[in-house]
Amino acid sequence: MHESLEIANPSLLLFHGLLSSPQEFGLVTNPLKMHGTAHHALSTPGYTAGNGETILDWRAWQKNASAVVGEQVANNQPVILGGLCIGGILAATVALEKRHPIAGLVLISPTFTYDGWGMSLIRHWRHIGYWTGLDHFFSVAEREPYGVKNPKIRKWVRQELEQRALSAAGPTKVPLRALREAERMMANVRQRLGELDCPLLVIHSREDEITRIESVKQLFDDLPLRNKELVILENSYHMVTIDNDRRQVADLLSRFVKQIGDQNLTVGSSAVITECHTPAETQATETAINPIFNPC
Amino acid sequence: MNTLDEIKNLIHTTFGIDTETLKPDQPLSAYGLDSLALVELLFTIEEHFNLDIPDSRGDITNLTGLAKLIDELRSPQVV
Repeated sequence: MHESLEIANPSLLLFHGLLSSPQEFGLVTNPLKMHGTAHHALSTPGYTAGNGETILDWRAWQKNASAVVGEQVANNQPVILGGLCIGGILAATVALEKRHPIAGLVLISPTFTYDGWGMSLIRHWRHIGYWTGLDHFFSVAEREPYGVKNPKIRKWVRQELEQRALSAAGPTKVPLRALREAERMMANVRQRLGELDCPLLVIHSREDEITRIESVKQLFDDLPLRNKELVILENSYHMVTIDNDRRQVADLLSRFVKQIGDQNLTVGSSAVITECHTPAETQATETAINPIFNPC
Repeated sequence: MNTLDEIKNLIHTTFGIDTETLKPDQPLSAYGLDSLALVELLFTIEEHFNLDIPDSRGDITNLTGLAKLIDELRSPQVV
């Protein structure tokens, strides 16, 4: 990683969730535009629905995702990587490769483990599928609440899934084999995230039904990284980019991009972790000592 | 401010479209609003006017129709 990065207006590159589509960022596109924040919701061969044949191998996802990022990086201008759900884990694998000039990483509703309240009881059986190879033949169907707390948006997602088998909240079903690859990728990132040396923003909802906030907070606290920030949203479920807090997510992304662009950060400069609980709006719960990233 | 002007302002603040260019009888799609943006607009309008636009009224295609519907939905609340 470069010792000192002169960063001007880094572009924000976003990866959607497992085998879904860039449409997951559809409802934050305009708010980001209104902020003047340049961003791209990326489509990755073998990972994005409808972008070539689906590949069920996370190393291939990483390789293709890295190539897609490479196409976006112009004359070594640093970029900020980010992603929703497994897309955040994918973004982290690319950042950890250290092949591209990465100015920052954003993890939105990162799925580090499947332990949320919305996980069906049979989730423990998935390991049997993994071990026996039966995961080739099974899929996991998307179901209520589709990661969405807002009833009107949830109804819209349900209608989309009925009409198109793909919605702003993801596909109607995911092969169990893809889930296994995603869990392998998660394990890799959980192990290596401490090697990250660029600023990190984590956005997670207290009521996330896929991964409990406690799990995310535990991993966040254990990170030796100093430039890190965790924002806990109070009025959404897992799909925060299309749920009640979607505008808040756009505000947080824009602010993170600007903070990195304005600060001309020297990689590894000290900052403090600020954990913000955001009821209606942002509210600090820990005192910032030397806030470079004090959002509250 | 009448309902039509309120809607124009909402479209401006949400999508950055200049209110001068918003013609009441022009289809909403003429402003480059894709299906997702139209969904966002409907959610924004519902939150702003604090009302529920029934699915059955998906026939709305321009600002005049939208303003008329909103006035209909609001009028019982005014009584």
